[in-house]
Amino acid sequence: MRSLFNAVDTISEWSGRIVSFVVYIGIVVLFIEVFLRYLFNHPTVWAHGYSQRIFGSYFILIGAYTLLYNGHVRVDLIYNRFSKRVQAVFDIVNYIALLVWDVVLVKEGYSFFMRSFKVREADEMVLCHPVYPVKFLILVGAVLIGLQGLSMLIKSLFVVLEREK
Amino acid sequence: MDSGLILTVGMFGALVVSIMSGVSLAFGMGSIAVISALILWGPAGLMPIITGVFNYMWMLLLAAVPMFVFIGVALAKSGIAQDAYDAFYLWSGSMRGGLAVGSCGFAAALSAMTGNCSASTVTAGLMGIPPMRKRKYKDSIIFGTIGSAGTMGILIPPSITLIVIGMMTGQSIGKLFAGGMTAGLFIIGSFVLYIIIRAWLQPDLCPSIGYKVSLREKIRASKGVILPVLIILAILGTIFFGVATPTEAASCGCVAVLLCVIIRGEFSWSFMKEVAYSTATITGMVLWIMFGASGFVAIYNGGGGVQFVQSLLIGSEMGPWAIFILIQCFVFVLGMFVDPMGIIMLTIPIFYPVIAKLGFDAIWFGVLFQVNLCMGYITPPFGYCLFYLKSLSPETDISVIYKSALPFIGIMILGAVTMILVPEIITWLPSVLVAKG
Repeated sequence: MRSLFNAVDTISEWSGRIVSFVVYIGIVVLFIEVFLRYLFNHPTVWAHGYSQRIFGSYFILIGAYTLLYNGHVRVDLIYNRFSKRVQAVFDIVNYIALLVWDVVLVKEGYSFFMRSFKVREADEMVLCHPVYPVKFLILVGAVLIGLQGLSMLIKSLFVVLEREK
Repeated sequence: MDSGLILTVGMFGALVVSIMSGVSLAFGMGSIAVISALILWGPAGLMPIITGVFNYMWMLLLAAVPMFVFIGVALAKSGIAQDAYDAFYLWSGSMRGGLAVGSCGFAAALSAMTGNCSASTVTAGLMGIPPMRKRKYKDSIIFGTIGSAGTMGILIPPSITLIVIGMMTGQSIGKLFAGGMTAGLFIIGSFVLYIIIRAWLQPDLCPSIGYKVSLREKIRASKGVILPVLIILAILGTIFFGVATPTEAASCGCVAVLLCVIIRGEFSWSFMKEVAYSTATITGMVLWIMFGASGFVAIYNGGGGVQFVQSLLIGSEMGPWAIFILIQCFVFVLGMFVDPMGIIMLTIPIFYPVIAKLGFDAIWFGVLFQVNLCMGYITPPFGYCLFYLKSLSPETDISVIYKSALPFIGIMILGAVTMILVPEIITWLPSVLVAKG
């Protein structure tokens, strides 16, 4: 059981670390566009479309990593006044809220992707490259944060139950 | 009873309860959206929750968010922030209250670099508090100075929240930035004036550092800062004048800051990693709040909630100014509990159409809205900034921090009222710029 949690943490950690570096790719792509447009008056057709894809993927995929590092802001005014065990109860409520939302993200994300995939949806602009891979990543991002949330939920459950043994 | 009323009370009531019990804002909004959609329409009504997420992923303007965060993190993790502090320290330290004035200026400069409050407050505090303590500054001036100047992070451009306001209202980001800058400088100026007057009245509140610093030393300290400051000004300039979009300007800023770091010899693999990781968690927080809010607002709107509040406001007997003030007060109160990004996402879609219909200037409203969020950020007992300050100095009692913040909140309120009465403070710069973007 423990090793399963560690595996989930490791997945979030490494997916997050890898995805973190996507920001550099995005910066470079946009910078190339600016460079070519303003200095050579020769804008690319792909830079904006691919920046959308790069940053869109980045946004959805870092959710789990942010959760792993407790980056999703919470008001801890009441929270801080309680013992570790009561805090764990609040944590459970927090993760349940996440999971209620996330189940829908996964389920609707799947049909959202499938609808796009069936018609091989592409950009409306000149580029005309496929859009559905990005929609598939919503599903991936939602599953990642869901796993992380579930793992943290169970860990908090252990904290609550521990001393009663 | 009116269904709009039930929906409003239900959704926002549940949100307040979940926030107070420590549920993350993003998850609270997301789960309430899910439950409300199920109650209103059953499983068929869940689709807007996912389409909203995709819309924000696909918004190129939002790419500016991680890049501005990146610039701030990179500056703070390199020695540039420390150098900037040293420069402010040496330039202003020798006069009475000078360190507080310097910290104000430093926090303002940091705000211009980072575009968010937590980064500017924490960094300004980490560097500003120890020297002020050493010079026997009283706590009552230290925390108010750092905290209130730190909140300007969301007002002074490049501000992430102003970008989102621009995105949601369709207003020019360049104009919002220009208005935000003059408003921010106006308020910082008022802080400085207040500190100088108080230092003059109470000599023991914030004594001078006691020795003169030679001009040569001052200039030497400033050298490390000049380049980054020029970069920031260049970024803002291109946005103000509509030469480049905020997204493009941000990417140039990232490249320029990385070059600075390389020139300073501070660039390394671990620097690249740390900056990327911190950028990811901050961006993750901001964007997932937007994801949650998109579902919440879509369901609330679909259920007729937005319509309900708007017709309530417009249909009331109140004049435009009464409605305006009511909205500002509401935002101020909300600002004490909810993260600024959440407030923008939740209230702009409801209030902005009303404000536009009543004929108020959109840029002016957006900036004032932002000033209001800054105030909420530091208003006791819940303002986030107060807790950042507390975490910087765990041994200080929170009531000391509260008291220290109060005069500064007073100044901000006075500042806001002045800007309502004299709108030119906000609208002048945007109006003279030939912005197209």
